[in-house]
Amino acid sequence: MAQITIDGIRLSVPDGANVLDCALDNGIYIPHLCHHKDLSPLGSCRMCIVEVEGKEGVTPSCTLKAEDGLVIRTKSPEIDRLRMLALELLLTGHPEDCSTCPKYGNCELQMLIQYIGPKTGRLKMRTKGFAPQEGNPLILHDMNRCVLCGRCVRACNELRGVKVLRYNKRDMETYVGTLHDKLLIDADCRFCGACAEVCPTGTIRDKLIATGAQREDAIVPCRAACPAHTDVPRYIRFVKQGDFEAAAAVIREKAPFPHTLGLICNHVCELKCKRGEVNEAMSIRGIKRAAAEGDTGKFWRGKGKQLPDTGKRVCVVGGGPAGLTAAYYLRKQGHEVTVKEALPTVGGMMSYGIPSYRLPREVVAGEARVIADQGVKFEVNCKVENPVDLLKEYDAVLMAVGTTKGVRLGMPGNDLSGVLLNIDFLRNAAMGKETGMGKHVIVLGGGNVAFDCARTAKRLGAEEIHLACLEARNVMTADDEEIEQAQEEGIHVHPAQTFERITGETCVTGVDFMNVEAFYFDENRRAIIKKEPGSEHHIDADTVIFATGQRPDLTPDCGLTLGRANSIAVADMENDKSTSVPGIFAAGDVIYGTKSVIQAIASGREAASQIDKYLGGDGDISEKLAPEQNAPAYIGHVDGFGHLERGKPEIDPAEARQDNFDQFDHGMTCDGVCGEAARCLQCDLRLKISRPRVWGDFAGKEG
Amino acid sequence: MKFIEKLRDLGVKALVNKTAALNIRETGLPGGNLADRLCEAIEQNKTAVAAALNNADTDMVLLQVLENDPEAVMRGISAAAVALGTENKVLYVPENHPEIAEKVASVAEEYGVTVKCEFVNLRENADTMLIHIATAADLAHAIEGDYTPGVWVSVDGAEVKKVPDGTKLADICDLTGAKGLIAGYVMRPVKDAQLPVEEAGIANGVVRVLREHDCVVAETQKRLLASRARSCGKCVFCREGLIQLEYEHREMTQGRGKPEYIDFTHEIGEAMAYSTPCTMGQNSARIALSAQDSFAGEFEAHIRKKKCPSAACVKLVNIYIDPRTCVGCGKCLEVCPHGCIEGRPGYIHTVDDFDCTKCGECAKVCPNGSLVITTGRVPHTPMRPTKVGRFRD
Repeated sequence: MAQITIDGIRLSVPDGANVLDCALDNGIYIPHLCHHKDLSPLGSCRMCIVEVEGKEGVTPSCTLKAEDGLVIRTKSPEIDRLRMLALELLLTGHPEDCSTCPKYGNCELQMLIQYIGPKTGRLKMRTKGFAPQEGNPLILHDMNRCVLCGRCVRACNELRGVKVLRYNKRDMETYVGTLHDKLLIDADCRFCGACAEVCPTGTIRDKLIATGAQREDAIVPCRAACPAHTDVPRYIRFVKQGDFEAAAAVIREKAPFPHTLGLICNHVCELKCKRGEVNEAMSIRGIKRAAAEGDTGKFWRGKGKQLPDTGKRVCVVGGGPAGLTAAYYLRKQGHEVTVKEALPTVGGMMSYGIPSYRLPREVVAGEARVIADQGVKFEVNCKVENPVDLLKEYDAVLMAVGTTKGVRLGMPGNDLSGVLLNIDFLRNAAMGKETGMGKHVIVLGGGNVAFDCARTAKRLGAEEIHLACLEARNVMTADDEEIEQAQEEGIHVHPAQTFERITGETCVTGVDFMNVEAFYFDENRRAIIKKEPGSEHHIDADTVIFATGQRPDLTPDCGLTLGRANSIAVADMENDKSTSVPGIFAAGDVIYGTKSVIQAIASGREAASQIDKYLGGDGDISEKLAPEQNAPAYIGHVDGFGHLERGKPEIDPAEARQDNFDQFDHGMTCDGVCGEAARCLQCDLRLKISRPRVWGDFAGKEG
Repeated sequence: MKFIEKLRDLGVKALVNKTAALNIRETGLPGGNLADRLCEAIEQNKTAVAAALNNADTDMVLLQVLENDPEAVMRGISAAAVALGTENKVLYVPENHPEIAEKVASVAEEYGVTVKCEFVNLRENADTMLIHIATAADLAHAIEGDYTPGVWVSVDGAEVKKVPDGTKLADICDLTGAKGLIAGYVMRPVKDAQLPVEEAGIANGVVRVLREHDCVVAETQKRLLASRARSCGKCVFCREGLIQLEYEHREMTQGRGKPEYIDFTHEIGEAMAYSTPCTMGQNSARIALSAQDSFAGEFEAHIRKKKCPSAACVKLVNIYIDPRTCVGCGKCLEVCPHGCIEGRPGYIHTVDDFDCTKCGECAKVCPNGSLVITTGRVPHTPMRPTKVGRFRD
C-alpha cells in the first residue's frame, strides 16, 4: 500500500494504482474525458492534469501511478488555465449547439464544459464534415461530434478484443472508423455496444434509445420482453460453453417448464432480439429446448429453495401453466398446496390444447412430476363449481382455470350440425374421443390455435382442409413457421376473408366468404372492414371449426365478480391479483384472456408471491440455481460474425408427419445449438461496464 | 550471422564502453549520449529496440541513411538489442514511405528485424528503447571501427552528409542573400550561422537557408501544415493546436491575420511542448515560436500592414506592367490563365487587378522584365489603349 495525499486528503491506496481512479473512488473529483475506469489510461485529453509536489509542471493523473509519499494538487490557477485551454482546443472541432444533440443532458463533454468553463469565441471553429453513418444496424456513428477521446477504440480493442474500431485519417482529419470505412457488419463487428456505452458524447449512439429507468431493458431486450424475465443471455452463454445443465438451471430460476417452453413458447424474446437487426434473430427457443433436453437436473433437482412448512393451506383451481407454477412456488414457500383439475391429467392447454405433435404429453407429465415431487397434491377429475366454499377448508384459493370455452361467432348457420369449437375439438382429439369432424373442414381463424385445429384435422384424416381468416397474410397472428408447415401439409390458407354465412339446412354444406380490401381499427378502436364488391364466393365443407378465440367457462354463479369477456376481475392485472372475495386470487388466461404459456407462468409467479405475502411470508420466491457464470468481457474477433445464419431445426417432411401425432421437429443438432448460441451479441456484457463518473455525482461531497 | 556472434563475443559491457568512448550522440530527439541512453534502458529493463525517425520529422531526409546502408541500421538495432538482451527488434519506416520499407525488408529479415510502416505509437512502445535510424547506423559503425563523429546534415535538400563536429553552419551553407536559417525544428536569424553544427539542434538533418524571397510566415505555415498532415491526431494539443496554428499562419499570409494570433501562438505552442507524449506534439510548434522570436518584424508586417516583405505571399503583393519598358509583344497576355491582361500588338499592356491571382506566369515569359511584382505601390499605368513609347506619367 502507498500513502498518497490528494488536496490535503491522505489516502491509503495500492502501490502503482491509477491516481485518477484512486481520487474518484475516494470521492475526490478530478475532471477527465479520455479516461474510463475499465480502459487503459491514454492521457490525451489533458483534463485530469494535476501538480505533483517536487515535480515541475503538470502531469495527467490518469497515467500517474501511486507511490508512497506522493503529494498532488488537483486545483491551481495554472491547472485551471491549462484545462480551460485544452477544453477550448477540444471544442474547436465539436458542434457548438448542444440543444440539438440526442445526448443532451447525458453528455459527459457537456458536463465537463459546465465544470471547467472554457473560454469561447477566441479560436477558429470548424465543422469536420463527416456525414452521419446510419447504415449500420443498432449503432449510429456521427463523427462530427467526436472529440477523439479514443474510449471506443480501446473498448473495442482492449476490452472486447473485437478490433473493429480504429483511428483513421482523411483530409487531415483524424476520425474513428473501420478499416477502409467498411460497414460494421463487414468489418466483423460483434455489436456488443461497448463503444456506444463508453462514448462520452453523442458520437456513437444506440439506434434504440436507452436511458433512464428503461436503460437495462433496452440494452437486454430479450430478457425484458420475456414475461417471466428469463435471463436469456446467461443461459445462451452456458449453452455456448456446452453446459446445458447450468443453462437449464438458469431457465428454472424463472419458469418450472423449460422443456415445454423450449418446444412451444411463443418466444417474444426473439422478436426483440437485437441480433434480428443485424441479420436474423437468435433461435432462443431452440437453444432453450436443447438446454432442457440436455439437462439431468444436476443443479436444481432436490436443491433450490424449500422453506419449512407454515401450516397454511392453499387450493389452486386449474392445473394449467399458471396454476401449476403458482402451486410450485407456494409449496417452496412452505405452504400445503392442492391443485384441483377438472380433467383427468394436469397441464391444462399444455395437455389438451396444444397438439401432441408440437408438445409430446410425456414432456408435460415429466415437468408436472417435478411439481408433484416438490409436495404439491394433484386432485384430478375434480371440477370446482363454487370456489368461495373452498375458503372453509383453505387459507387461500387461486383461480387459474384458463379460458376453456370456444367462441362461436354470431353469424347465420353458426349452430348447424357440423359446426365445432376449437377447444372442444382439440380436447376431444387429445383425449382420443370422437370429434364429430367430417371429411371437408373449414377452420375459421388465423391464430396458432386455428392452425392447431387445421393440422389436427389433417392428422385425423380430413381430406380437404381450408383455413380462412380476416387478417391479411402479413398480419396473421400465427407464427410464420406454423403457416408454412400447414401449407406444406396441403392445408389451404385464405387470408383476408369475411365469413358471410355458414350454409346448409340442418347440416353444414360450406361457408360463404367475401374478400377483404382493407381491415383496420379506427380512432375509436372499432374494427373497420372494407369488402371487395362482387367477391362473394363459397367453399364446400361438411365441418366448420370456429377458432376465433376462447373465454373462461364461468358464470356469475361462481361467486366472483366477472370482468370483460367473462374474465375474473382482479384489482390489478400485474400487481394485485386479489378478486372480489378476500382470500381468493386469480391468475393466468382467466384474468387477461388467452395469451401464452410463458405469460401464464409469469402470472402464476406473481400470484404465488402475492399469496405468500397474504399468508404471512415475505413474498420472495426468487431462487438461485445456476452456478456462477464466467462471462469473459474479451469476446474476441470472429470472422464473418454478422453474417452467421440462424440455426435451423431438423424437421420431418410433410408426407412423413401429416398423418400422425408424432413430434416432427427434432430441434437443432448439438453442434448446431452451440453454433447458434455463439451468434448471441451478449448484450448483457455491456451492463458490466462501469458508468461514467461526472462531477454532479461528487458535488455534495465537495460542499 | 557473424556480426551478431561478434557482438556476443564482445559482451554488453565492452559494447557500452565502446559507445561511451566514442561519445556517440543520439541523432534524434531528445538527443543525449547514446551510452547513457543504453545504460538507462538496461536499467529500466526495456524489452525491445526500435529504430525510427522522430515522429516530428516531416522532411525525412535522414531516411537516406537507411536507404544508403540498410545493413548498418539493422546491425545497429541488433547491437542495441544484444545490449538489452532482447530479440525483439523493430524498424519503423514512416507510413508514407512503404517503398522504402519494401526495399529494406530482406535485409531486415536477415537480422530478425520486424519492419513496420507506421507512425510510432509511443504508448505502445513504453517498454521499447527507441533510437534514431541514423544513430543505429552510427552504433554499427562504432562496433566495426569505422565510425566518424559528426552530424548528419542535408543542406537545402542536397544529399545527406556527415559533417564533422565543430564545423560552423556558415561553412556548409551558401549564405548569399540569406536572412535566416531553418535548422532542425527551429528557425534562426542569420547570425546563428556561426553556431557549430552539433549545437544547432539538427535532429532531423535539415538545414535550409532562408533568402530574401522566402517568407518566414509562409514557410512556417507550410511546415505546420506538413506536421498537421503527419500528426496521428490522437492527442488534443497536437491535433487541435496544429490546426489552430496552421490556420492562424495561413490567415496571416492571406492578409487576414489578427494581432492576437501572436499571443495565441505562444499560448498554444508553449502548452503543446509539454502536453503531448511524442516528439510530434512537443516540437511541431517550435517552428512557429522560433519564427516569431527571430522575425517579429515580418509577422508585424503581415498582420498590421498586410504586407509580405519577401513578396512571397501573393495576396499581399501587387503586380503591374511597367509602361515605360513594355514592348507590346503579347506574350504575357497569352499565358495568363485568367485572361486578366489587356492589350494588343504594339500597345502597352495592362493587368486587370480584379481577377488576377498573382500567379506570376506573366512575369516568367516577359522578355523585358516589364512585369513587376512588388509589395509597394503601383505607379500610374495607361487608362486607355496607348501605343508603345507614347505613355507619359
